[in-house]
Amino acid sequence: MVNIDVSGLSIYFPVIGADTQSLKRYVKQVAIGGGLARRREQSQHPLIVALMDVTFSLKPGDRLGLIGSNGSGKTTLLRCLAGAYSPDKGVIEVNGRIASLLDLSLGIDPSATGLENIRLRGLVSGLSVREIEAKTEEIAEFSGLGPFLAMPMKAYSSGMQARLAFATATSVEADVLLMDEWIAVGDANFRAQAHDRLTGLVERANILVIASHDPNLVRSLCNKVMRLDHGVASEVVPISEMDALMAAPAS
Amino acid sequence: MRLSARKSYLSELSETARDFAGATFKFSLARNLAVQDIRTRYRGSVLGPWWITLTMGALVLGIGVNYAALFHMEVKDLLPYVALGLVAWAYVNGTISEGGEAFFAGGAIIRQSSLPLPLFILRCVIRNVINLAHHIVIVLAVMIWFRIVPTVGMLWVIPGLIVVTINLAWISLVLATISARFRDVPQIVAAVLQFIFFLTPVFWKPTPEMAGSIFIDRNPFYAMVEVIRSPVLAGAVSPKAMAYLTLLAVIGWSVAILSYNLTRRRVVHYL
Repeated sequence: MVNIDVSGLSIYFPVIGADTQSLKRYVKQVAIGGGLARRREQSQHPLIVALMDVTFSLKPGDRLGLIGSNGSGKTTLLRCLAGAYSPDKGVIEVNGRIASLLDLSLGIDPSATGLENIRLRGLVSGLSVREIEAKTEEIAEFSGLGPFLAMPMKAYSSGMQARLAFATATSVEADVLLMDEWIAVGDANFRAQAHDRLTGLVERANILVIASHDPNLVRSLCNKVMRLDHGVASEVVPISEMDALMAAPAS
Repeated sequence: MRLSARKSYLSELSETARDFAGATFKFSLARNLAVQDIRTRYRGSVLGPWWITLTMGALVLGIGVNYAALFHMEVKDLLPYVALGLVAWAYVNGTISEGGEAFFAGGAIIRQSSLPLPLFILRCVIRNVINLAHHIVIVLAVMIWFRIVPTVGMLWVIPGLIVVTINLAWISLVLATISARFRDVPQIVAAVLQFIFFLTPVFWKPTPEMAGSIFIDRNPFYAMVEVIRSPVLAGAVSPKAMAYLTLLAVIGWSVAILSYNLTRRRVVHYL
């Protein structure tokens, strides 16, 4: 059974190496970012409340769009779902195979060849060597890089690097797909193919969670939406109520 | 996957156990990352990782021949001793100093995946075992040149390497955690290791008057070098050194696990 269950999730980030005093002066003025918590002892590091008491659950078929300003906690929530951060409060439960497209450059080594990078990225995303070998040909073909795959990645143009990273990152099959913004890479021709591939991936996944600043994208992909403000989450509402959600004053 | 807030120190121990089990389970990922690290380091060079061997060979030859003259010793007495000492030291030194960087080097991965932290210690240890394997060529060359006949006693080197590796792993784990938080620590560790290198009989032989000194008898680094060196050169291992290292491994791992249990959630925020 594939599902996501998050209850009472809070995440705090200690800011190490920052000057508490200088930070405090700006606390009242900030319009974006997570909430800054006040700590009892002055000597401690300032604490950013990245997420505050977030509760929601998703079941198969749900496509959740996360909206909110910069620093509202969208990426943090995605990373939590990917298992990178342990909750400071609350529980995160994700059942099913997770694929996260949060950072295309994850596991990429610029001095390694294209083929080595396919392998590396695949391994880091949790595939076995055998699974990667089975997918390599398909990834190579989709990237359209041909003989360049045997060359070190630093010899690629940035567009070519993005093509390879995209082809590799999107080769995973998953029950739960986590995305930070829609990924658009390459020239016009590749862009169309990339769009189709990503759409296919989204359709095959049981659950999608995507963070985006583009309301039209969220409307076209998602059937549910949640807004984050300074780490505080709204209710998960049907996509039809998105306009009202966006118009609501920040909590 | 189910992650929850920390309830108590004791309940956290089951999470810690899961991290270590997860790292062991993903051994092949750690190995692949380690191999890739070595490939990256020597990419584009003709000799590739064999530079590890060549550099070490030059050092062994330089110290073995020059110091034999300086100390008025026979080359055949000193050079094999220096060769084994330096090979063992390179393993100890490499694992500890790279161990401090283990979490930092894996930062990008740690920040966006659920891969357990001990996996990155494993990666560092495997990388250094691969380096050590390249040094075996030097040991073989020395054995052939100086006609050291293989004996059954030489097999003691295997338990010796195992107990050394177990110790290096906990030291790496502790240092990786502290270094993630305090960025001066890797530099301090490098300086301290340099000092210990000269203090420990790695390339010089202790004189009989030194017996009983704590720098010899209680020096864990000397014990680590000796349980690797003496099986090869003398066909025997000092039971005292083995017992000392075993004790150190038990105490060290206890401390490492208990402190990992405290810090495992915080490391990701330090990176």
